[in-house]
Amino acid sequence: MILFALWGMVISGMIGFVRVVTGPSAADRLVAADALSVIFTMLLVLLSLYIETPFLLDVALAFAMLSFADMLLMAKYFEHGELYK
Amino acid sequence: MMPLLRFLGSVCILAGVFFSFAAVVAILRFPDVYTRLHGGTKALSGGALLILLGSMPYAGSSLGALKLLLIAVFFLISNPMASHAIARACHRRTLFKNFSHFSSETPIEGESMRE
Amino acid sequence: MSEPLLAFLYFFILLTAFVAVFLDDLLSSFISLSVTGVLMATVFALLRAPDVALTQAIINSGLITSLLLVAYSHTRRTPLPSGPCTACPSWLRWPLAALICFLLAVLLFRGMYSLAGERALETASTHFLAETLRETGALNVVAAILLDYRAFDTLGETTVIFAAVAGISLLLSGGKHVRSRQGLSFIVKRGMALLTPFLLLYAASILFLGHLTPGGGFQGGSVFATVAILICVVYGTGFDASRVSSKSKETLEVGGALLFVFIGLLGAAWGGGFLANLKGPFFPGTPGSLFSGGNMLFLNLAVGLKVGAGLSSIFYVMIKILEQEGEQ
Repeated sequence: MILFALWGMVISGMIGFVRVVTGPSAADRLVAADALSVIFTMLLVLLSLYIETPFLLDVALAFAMLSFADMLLMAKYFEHGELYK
Repeated sequence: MMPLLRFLGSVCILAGVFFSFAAVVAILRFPDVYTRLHGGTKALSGGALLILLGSMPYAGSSLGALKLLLIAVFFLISNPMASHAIARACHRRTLFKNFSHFSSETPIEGESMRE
Repeated sequence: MSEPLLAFLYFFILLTAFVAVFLDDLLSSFISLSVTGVLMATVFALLRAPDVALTQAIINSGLITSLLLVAYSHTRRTPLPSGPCTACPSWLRWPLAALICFLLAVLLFRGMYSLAGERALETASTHFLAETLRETGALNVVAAILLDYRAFDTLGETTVIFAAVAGISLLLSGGKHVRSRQGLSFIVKRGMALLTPFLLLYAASILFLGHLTPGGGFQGGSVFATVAILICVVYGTGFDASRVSSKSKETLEVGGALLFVFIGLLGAAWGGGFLANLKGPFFPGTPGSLFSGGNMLFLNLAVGLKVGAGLSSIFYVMIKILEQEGEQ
């Protein structure tokens, strides 16, 4: 059952990546990358349950904490054109 | 007790996968960047929360379940904040002066020349 | 049953890297590159290497994007070189590139498939896995190898980061900071104010518990640097907390280096050799507690100080305005 959920998340990731490839502006690609980061964090959580390694939850926690930093940096760059304003 | 919790957990995980799939389909099919952002982030936050809540009976120890709850609380705070920042950046852009709000057929440069 | 999943993830990584190379807009290439980094962290996690996956997740999210964006914002005004490159004859370009990529792909696939399954370990790995708890007192074998068996290489790595910070500070020394109070919107500012204490606590826990759980000095220091970069980005450089002076950052960095060398010299003075752990004046403690592993706790602290201060110094130096840009 968890394997089915794993494959479901990977297929969702692949479909979300289509928007990164097409997507006429960089803002579309950024929206898709935001969704992809959440999907891959969930993939990491399901992986830690599937192969029964509890240390991977630390990796999922780190990634959940830092992926929003990535999105904030790109949003700041799109809004102001510089990173220090 | 435990098999009942595991059954509820698997129901939650499958529902979460369905919502994530719906969010990704929204990002693929909607016409404009604002609608893509709306559909993507709302369904995806709900799907992520459902997956995390449904994984808690499957975690090996109570420490693992606590970590999953922590990830869920963190997602609830940070993912809407990041989506708000992206939406506001698209609205107040310096970088997309010729941004069209209503159609995505017009070819839009990824970077524009700032004045 | 993880073999098809692994193969699919490898294919996905190749696809994202391919897209990142061939998109003509650099910003979109950065976005695709961050997706590649996420996928690599997932593959490392699937291959049962949580330490490497943690490092990949931390470095890819905060630091690579910020440094690439800062470099991009400084260099996008220079015009591209005119005309195609004529060093290589035109009939050789595509076949040579395709051949090299094909050879690399074949080697990588063969190597990754042999890593995925269970196999008999070589003699060095079996020695480390069996003897680490007795010889160093730490639970995390990767941290024991980094800070005890080959601690001198870790000193070299931190020196490399120090040299990079020194070089960048020299190159961009003629600029001045712009004080701005705009930052992002109110919602993001309040959300960041809510989350920052927990981020700092998480960074400290990765750093100090590096000898017990996946993590260590480098990862903890990187999260500290990411928090410093985020404060500058979200609140603007005019905000008081982001005006931590460069003097205090230098002090932290040099303090980390001096602490590392001092601990090494303590081990040497006790007769065990430079950076000796249990043969020096350090005791192993009970396995699994905070004060175990000898000097690994203090070495983690030294590496974390150095890396955190160094990486945030790089960012703060790179966001200066160079004088010739102001004159345009």
